[in-house]
Amino acid sequence: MPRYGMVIDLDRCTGCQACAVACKVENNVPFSSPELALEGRTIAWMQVLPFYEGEFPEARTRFMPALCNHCEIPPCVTICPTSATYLSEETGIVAQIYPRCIGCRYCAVACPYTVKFFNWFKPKWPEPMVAGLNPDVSVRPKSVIEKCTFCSHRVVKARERADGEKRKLKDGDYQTACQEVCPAKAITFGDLDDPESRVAALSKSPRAFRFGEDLGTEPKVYYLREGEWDVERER
Amino acid sequence: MGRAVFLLIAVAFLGAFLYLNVLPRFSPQPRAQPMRFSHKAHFEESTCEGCHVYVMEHGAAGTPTLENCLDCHDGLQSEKAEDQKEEEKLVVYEEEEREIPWAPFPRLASHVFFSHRRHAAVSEIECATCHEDIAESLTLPGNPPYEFTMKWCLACHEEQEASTDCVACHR
Ligand code: SF4
Ligand code: SF4
Repeated sequence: MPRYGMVIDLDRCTGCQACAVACKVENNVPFSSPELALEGRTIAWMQVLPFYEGEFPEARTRFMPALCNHCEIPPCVTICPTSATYLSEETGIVAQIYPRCIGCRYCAVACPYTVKFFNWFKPKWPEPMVAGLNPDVSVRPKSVIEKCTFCSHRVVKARERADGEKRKLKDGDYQTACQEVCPAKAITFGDLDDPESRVAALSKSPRAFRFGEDLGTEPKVYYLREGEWDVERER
Repeated sequence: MGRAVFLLIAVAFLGAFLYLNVLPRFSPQPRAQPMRFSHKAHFEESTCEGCHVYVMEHGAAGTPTLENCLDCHDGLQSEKAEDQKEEEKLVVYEEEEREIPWAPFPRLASHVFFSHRRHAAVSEIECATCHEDIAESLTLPGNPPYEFTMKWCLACHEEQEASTDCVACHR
């Protein structure tokens, strides 16, 4: 069984936010506003966090795309009373089943990475965009939690395509929206257990680290810090 | 005494009102179809994907459009007068430049995702496995002819060792 994971190269990331936009469009995530942001009620499965360093003229900004880490030991799953969020044995994805969710928000509190978002309102889009919603993903109702799913609808499509062509799923068949759109190719995605996959190789890079590793959540999202590139492997 | 009779009558009226007006709204009413369509007659001449043209390529199988019908129905083809009466409706729709107002049954719940392509084309499952003997029917059903429950889907998925991961169908 594959165990999907992601590697994000912070040395490549330019902070362009293409991943954040692609994620919203792919997954029917509603827009937000500065007012909602102030109330802490935005929904952003993928967000590029800025970190400011130094003083002018020596100032610089670092960027960190942050999303659900699809923990191998996910506290959100342990706490969910309804199994609305669970760790898939088939893919390693921490999934969210909306009609099971009772909106208790325990998981949002349990997640140390604060990447679970509650639907405080019925989502709204400008009229011309309604026809452009992704038909492969549901529009979530009010009062349920949502988060990054590693575009799990795409694994279903990729499997369907591969099975139709009577072949096995290969590295690169299943891509997430953020990975696909990243102009700097900072995001790599695939099966961490496949020794041939690029994501497995990069996750073992000397530059690799995981967010909050000391928490024992075993995230499946790896970051590559700045440093010497291992050009052979990182092509 | 007068009061009791009044109350009794009031309750009887209320009961009758609920029974006649409110209850039916909670039970499914058969839906009127635009014509008496015989799956049997069509299945003898064609195949399922002849009319449900997307069944092998997309998630939704599709209901035939007027154009699909007119591809074959070039003039009246039925022999019996009562069949011709139905077939003539196509001519009327064409003249009025109207689509056929099929009454489809409620689709899946908005969080359930099903692909006909996955089942019919990729896994090569016969239509009748799920759609039973619809190909034998002489009229269009007014109510859903069968009920698809998750338990029923899962029984087959388990038997065939297909995915039983929740997100395979619920998103
Ligand atoms: S990052 Fe948070 S939401 Fe994602 S699996 Fe871990 S605990 Fe759950
Ligand atoms: S909000 Fe939903 S997913 Fe989160 S713990 Fe409660 S029921 Fe589970």
